[in-house]
Amino acid sequence: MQSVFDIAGITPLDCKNSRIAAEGDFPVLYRLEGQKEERVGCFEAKRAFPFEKEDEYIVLLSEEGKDLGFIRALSERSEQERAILERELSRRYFMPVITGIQKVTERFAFSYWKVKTTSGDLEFSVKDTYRSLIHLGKRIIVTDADGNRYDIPDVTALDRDSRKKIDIYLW
Amino acid sequence: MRAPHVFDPQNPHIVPDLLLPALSSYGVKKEDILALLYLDLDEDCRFKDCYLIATQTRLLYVSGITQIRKEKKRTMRLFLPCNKKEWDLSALSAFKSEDLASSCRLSAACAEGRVVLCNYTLSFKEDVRIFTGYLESIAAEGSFTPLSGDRVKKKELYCPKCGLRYPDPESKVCPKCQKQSKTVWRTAKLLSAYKWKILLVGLTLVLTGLLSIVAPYFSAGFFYDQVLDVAGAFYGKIALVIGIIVATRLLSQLVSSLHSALTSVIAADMIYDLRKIIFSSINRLSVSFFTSRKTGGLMTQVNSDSQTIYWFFCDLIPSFTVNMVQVVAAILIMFLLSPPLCLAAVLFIPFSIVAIRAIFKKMDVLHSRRFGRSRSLSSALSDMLGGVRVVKAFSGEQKEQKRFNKKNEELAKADLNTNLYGAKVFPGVELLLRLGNSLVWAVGGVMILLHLTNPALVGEQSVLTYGLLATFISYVSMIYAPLFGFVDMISTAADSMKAMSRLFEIMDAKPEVVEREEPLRIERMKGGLRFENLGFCYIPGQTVLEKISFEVEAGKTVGIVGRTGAGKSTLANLILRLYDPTEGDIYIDGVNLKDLAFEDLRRQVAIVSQDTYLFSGTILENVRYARPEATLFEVVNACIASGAHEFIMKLRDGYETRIGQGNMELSGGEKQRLSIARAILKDPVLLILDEATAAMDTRTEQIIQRSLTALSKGRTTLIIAHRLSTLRDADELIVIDKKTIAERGTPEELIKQKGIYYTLYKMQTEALKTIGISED
Ligand SMILES: Nc1ncnc2c1ncn2[C@@H]1O[C@H](COP(=O)(O)OP(=O)(O)O)[C@@H](O)[C@H]1O
Ligand SMILES: [Mg+2]
Repeated sequence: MQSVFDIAGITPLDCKNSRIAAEGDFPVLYRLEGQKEERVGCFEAKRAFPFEKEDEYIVLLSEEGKDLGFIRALSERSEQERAILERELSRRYFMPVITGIQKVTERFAFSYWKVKTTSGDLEFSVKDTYRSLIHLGKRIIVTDADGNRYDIPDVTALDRDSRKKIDIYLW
Repeated sequence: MRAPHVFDPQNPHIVPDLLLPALSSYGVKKEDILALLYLDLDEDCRFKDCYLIATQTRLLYVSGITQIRKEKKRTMRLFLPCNKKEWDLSALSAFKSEDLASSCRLSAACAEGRVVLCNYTLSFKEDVRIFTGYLESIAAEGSFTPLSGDRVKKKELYCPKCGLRYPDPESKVCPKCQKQSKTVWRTAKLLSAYKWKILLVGLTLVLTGLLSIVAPYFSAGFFYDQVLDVAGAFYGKIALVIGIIVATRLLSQLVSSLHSALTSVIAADMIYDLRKIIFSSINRLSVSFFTSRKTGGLMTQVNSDSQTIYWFFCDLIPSFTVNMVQVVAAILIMFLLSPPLCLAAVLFIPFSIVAIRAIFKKMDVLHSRRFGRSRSLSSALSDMLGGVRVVKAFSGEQKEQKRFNKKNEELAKADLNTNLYGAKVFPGVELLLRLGNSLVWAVGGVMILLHLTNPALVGEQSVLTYGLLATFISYVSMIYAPLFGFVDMISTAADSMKAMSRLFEIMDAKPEVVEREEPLRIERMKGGLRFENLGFCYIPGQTVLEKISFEVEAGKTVGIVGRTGAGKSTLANLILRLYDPTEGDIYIDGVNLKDLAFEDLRRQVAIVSQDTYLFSGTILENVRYARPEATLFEVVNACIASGAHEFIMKLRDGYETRIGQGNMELSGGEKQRLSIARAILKDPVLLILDEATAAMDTRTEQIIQRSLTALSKGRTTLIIAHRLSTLRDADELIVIDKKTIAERGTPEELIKQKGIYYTLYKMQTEALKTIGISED
């Protein structure tokens, strides 16, 4: 049976039809057709499923935001290309990881957090706390009032005191 | 945590003193600096203090740490640089700031390709945007003019006293510097109309309290010592004394009946008023308030919070006061009866208070968790019920059941925890109080025995009789009973405090779009429309539109074309002032929209939009919503013109068919036709058709198209359309792409131009041909 992909003429970017290199701090996409090679340009790499599948379904967008295609899995690419992509992805999806929570106070619509993160100590405020926490099983992602995000990869791994402070938001 | 330096768009060249030593070591003179920007992330995305510094020729990036040293009471701040990068400013071009998942980066093109200049958190986006504008000017022209005046919105996001972020920067109320007592006081002021009534309630309670204090005196000690004792003054007058006892009981019953009658009267009035206050506060807010909240939560708020606040003022505060008075009075009487015994009785009070305070804290946590879960359950519920059609269509009942069960279980668990905690804790407190009682018995017993065996030891005036001891015991329970009451009140008080702060969260929320004081009134506008350098984002940092400038002459028809999500509907929202532009302005007849009265604007602008909302009510009411005074003749004519008449007349009750909320539901196309009728009835100066016919079949669309074309004659019309064929008669077309205007001109011109419009046009006609429809 023909897949929807085939019918719509969508083919993922693989090693046969594309090559990835780096220019300056940014990655560049080349399209291959037989022996011919055409430079498409700089691109932004985005994860289609940033929480579920970090290394699969990497969508490449041109600088103008046009869809250039997607890579089904990073493991399909050469080591060199993977390193370029991984560097770009880790920059894009950088999120300070909360390692300890020193204080959370709730007043009116805001909660005020004082935390330790992998990027340094930090204070921030969260608007409408219940709605600003994304629950992904044991993982929790906090979005602050400015839209910055902080990662708690495993709430159960936090120390008791830290966990107690955010206990009321967890379910 | 405040930044060591704040970028000031009007004075970008200000250099913080702590940076000077580092700068001079890099050979940068203070007076050469044109602009300096503070940022919070370094090149490895760690929180550091970083600066971008522009001189005439160079762009410098420095990251480092600010150290605070205390020397003889003076705090010294030192900047310890870690890293430095430098670029030739004239070699940089194509500056670009990008939103990453949780940070941003600014990059530029140079000889080696694209380089990252700096990283920063989203909190600094606005600063970077302005700074980049300056950089572009310096790179291109060698200088720049700082933004000034209204172009720079000075935003005070933090409380100057404690550095806490304001929940609402507009109202500038800092939750930390604002005390809970203040919240109560503010609520009290809202309800000041009720103060005499509440006082009356208090009075009845005080009377009840006083009577209950007097009662033990007659029924216990007095009865034993004065009536049953041969030496007593009332010896044998049982009937009289019993009479007195019955009379006080009766009186107390009477007063408490009066009390309940009073409260039921006040309750109805006050809850009604509170609901009104809450609803009107919600009603005045801008659209953005509602899109950022769950309606389930707001529904709870209107209903149950008014109840809770009523309880606080009419039940809690009066009974608290009375209990307090009772405790103090009882202690006073006890002291007069026998100081040593009083001491024994009071001994346990401090312990109980400490215990009660601890319980208060824990209860608070348990209650806010319970509340959070019940809010989550009710909003999930309103979600599921609202989307019931989707649920059924995708047979998601099982899934929804599971989702509901989970939330329900969580709420039940929170309930259980709260109750369990109560069950665990209250017997403990009770035991403590019982111990107090026993102690009084013990001390009293010892004192009586001592008196019997060795009268000289005790002294004459503190003679303790059995009757006195009995009276005493009744008073002891009188101080402990209110303490129990306090524990009980705790949970109600905690809920009430939450309800009150939620009330003020809404009352203090400033509508984002506000009418100017003394707005300009225009009875009948001409309808000239002008956009000037318009920019907009719903969520800070996610620009939807930017640099939009165009003009529509009064009476002309302009079509707006663009992909889905291009921001066409957003443009319509901005004209209606459902949101205010983040940048730039919109003018109608040369008057800034911000200066115009809401009433005049919304009376003269009509929109027919993609998703039509109809209220529950009759079709007639819904069509007339635009202009309640419209005659039936006008309504019918409008419906004929909009093509709604036909389907309306097929309904059993015609124009009086009830729709929405458990009544009959209309199809998308039918709803749109009603909403076109609404617009026709409104006779607007400015008409916006936002994919007004998207939900209709081609034949119906063609019919209505004629009405719409007729309707647009003589008024300024903006047509937003997917199907380009509907735009053939437009005087001008505007193509929005990549957040801004990509092409403009008459349809013929655009086809000749062979740009985006041409591609879209060709695609559509071809697509239509394949399904056998010719557009002409
Ligand atoms: N209330 C909102 N909050 C946040 N983003 C929104 C909101 N409404 C629309 N958007 C976003 O704004 C962009 C433009 O939307 P819209 O103006 O509706 O596009 P269209 O051109 O299809 O009418 C879309 O990317 C959409 O996701
Ligand atoms: Mg739209």
